[in-house]
Amino acid sequence: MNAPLIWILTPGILGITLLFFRHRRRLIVLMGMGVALILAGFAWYNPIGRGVTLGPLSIEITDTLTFLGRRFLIDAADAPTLVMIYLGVAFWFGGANIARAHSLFIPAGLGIAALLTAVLAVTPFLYAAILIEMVALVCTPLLFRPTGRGRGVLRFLSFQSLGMPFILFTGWILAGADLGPLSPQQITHAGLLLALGFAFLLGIFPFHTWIPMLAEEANPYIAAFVFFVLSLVLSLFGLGILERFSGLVSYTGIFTVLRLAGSLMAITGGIWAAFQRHVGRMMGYAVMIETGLSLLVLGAALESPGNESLLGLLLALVLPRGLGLGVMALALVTLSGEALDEPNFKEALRFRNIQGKGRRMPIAAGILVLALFSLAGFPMLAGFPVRLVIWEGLAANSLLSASASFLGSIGLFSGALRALTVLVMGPSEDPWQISEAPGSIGLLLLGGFSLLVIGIFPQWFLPAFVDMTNLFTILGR
Amino acid sequence: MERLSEGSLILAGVVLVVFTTLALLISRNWRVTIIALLLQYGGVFILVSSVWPTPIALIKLVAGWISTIVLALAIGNTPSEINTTPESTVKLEFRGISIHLQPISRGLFRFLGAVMVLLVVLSVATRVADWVPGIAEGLSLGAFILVGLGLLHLGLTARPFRTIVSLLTILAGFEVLYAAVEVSTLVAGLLAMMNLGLALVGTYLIYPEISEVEA
Repeated sequence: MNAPLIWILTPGILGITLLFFRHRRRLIVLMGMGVALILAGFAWYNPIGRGVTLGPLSIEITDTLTFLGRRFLIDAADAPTLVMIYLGVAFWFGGANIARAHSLFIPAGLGIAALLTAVLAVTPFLYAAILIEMVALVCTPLLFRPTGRGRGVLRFLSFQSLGMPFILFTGWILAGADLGPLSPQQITHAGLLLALGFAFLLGIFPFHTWIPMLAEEANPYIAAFVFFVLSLVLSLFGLGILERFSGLVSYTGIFTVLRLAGSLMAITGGIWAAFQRHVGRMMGYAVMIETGLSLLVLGAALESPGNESLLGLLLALVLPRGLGLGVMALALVTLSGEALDEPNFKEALRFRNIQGKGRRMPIAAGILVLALFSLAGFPMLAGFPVRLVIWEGLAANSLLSASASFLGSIGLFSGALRALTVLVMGPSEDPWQISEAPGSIGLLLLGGFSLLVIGIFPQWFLPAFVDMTNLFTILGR
Repeated sequence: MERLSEGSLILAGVVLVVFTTLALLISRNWRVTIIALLLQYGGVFILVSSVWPTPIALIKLVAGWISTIVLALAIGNTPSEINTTPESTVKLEFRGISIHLQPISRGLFRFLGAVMVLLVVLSVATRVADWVPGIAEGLSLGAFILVGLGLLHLGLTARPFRTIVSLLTILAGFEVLYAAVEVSTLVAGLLAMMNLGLALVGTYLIYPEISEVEA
């Protein structure tokens, strides 16, 4: 038995099996969640390299799977990453039924988790590019709504497909490092190609247009899942490349590029969010601000290698981001109601159509604003503790970066305030009533409560993420 | 003699690729598009076979043709309202026979756009050797023509069928370039799977258009 067999092949095969039961929605949600939780729990127990004893049976779990001459390596140090991926997937599966996600969501979600784990495990890493493209191909049917025009989905697919060749070529150039030291010209080429590849894959300025388009036209819950999972794994993958090829880090231009791209993402996202009249698109701009913030933190962490806490903060952003996006998407689905299945769904979340909905759905409206506040870094909410430390760290490195990130948050906060105003606006004779479904109320309240608990007691949750810096022995030094 | 024949082979591939990508860009008839795509993969095969053993290069041809056939089956089953763009065509009727003609300005615009891209490609392709040492000039020219005209096509369309065709063209160009640096059966197989995956996703995206028209 080996680790890739457990965390890549098993969820992949189970995902394919669940395809045949996709119309039994409750069953596959339970099974999907169960599988993801078991895999996360098993990773937490971390038997890699040690083995498991089941009564008289003793199974040794090795770390390598060789397939067609290529290696998939998952060692004991990767266990926290596996926990993060599969706990994240289980969290998203939990709300799938209430969010009325696509019937393929659970099977495809397990497949996506398996492929993304393979992205992190495959050696040489150039094969990861092809696996990422496969993830985009699997995501496309989930994101595409048969009743919509699907321009955002087409752009998503196009940009993911355009990113793949750049990563493959980077892999080819960097493979030369195994034979001998790379020339400065080769490092420059590899750095440029890598930057372009990640710009396409992560939707970094100016290739960000698919993010708000997708947030506007797809089921918000699935769009948020794709934003979260892709950004999580691509960040870890990118850090892995920088860790392995430290020559790229010494390529000094990378700090400036990251700082510039991050600042542009945060500022443009903030400005668009502040003036946005569509709450779905606002989620897209929140994702842009998050990506910008991550780039700024990465730039600062690489610029001052002794400052390992910044790298830890980059990983600590994952929890508030995932929770904030998940809760916001659930609230958006609840607010859109029956319009989710209609051809003009895009219109359902425009300000003019949600005006006064807060009076009929106060819990969904309240939690939506709470999630937006958290994503903007409002005090006492999940996003605040990490942002506060990040802003301090960034300001010590570059006041411009800290200001850009802060401006992004201010923009999103303004957008959230405008959304709140629109949601409660209405004729004064309109009575306040709770008309959300009981299941939605339960999950929304749980999400809102979690945002508060993490915001008030960050010390209970965030250290585990910060400790993941140990994965990156060179970058985290 | 051998070098001459290899050079002629690459030239034939480049010429085939130029004409087929132009046809893909300018024509709005899905049948022409499908035939051009099939021929384009022939050009890709010729280019790749100049650096790869023929049996491995055949993977590109077969995968490309299967992808094209999958797309053809999907688009062939769609109503004519989807295959043509009525708002941009002129309908001529003569004794009960109607023909949809494209306004000449549309084709001319695309052709001129393609000429500009080809000029850029001609200047860029010669400099690829700095990045990819040892690559034949013809090979990089063919690859960049595919990528450049594919990108132009992608930028001018919002329809799923056309988007998938342009993505397949761009990836074909990349595959030609990548073939010059890496001979790996596994990479060839995975890229072939990706082409097929794109075509399958394309069919999924094309079908809702049918239901929309039928409704």
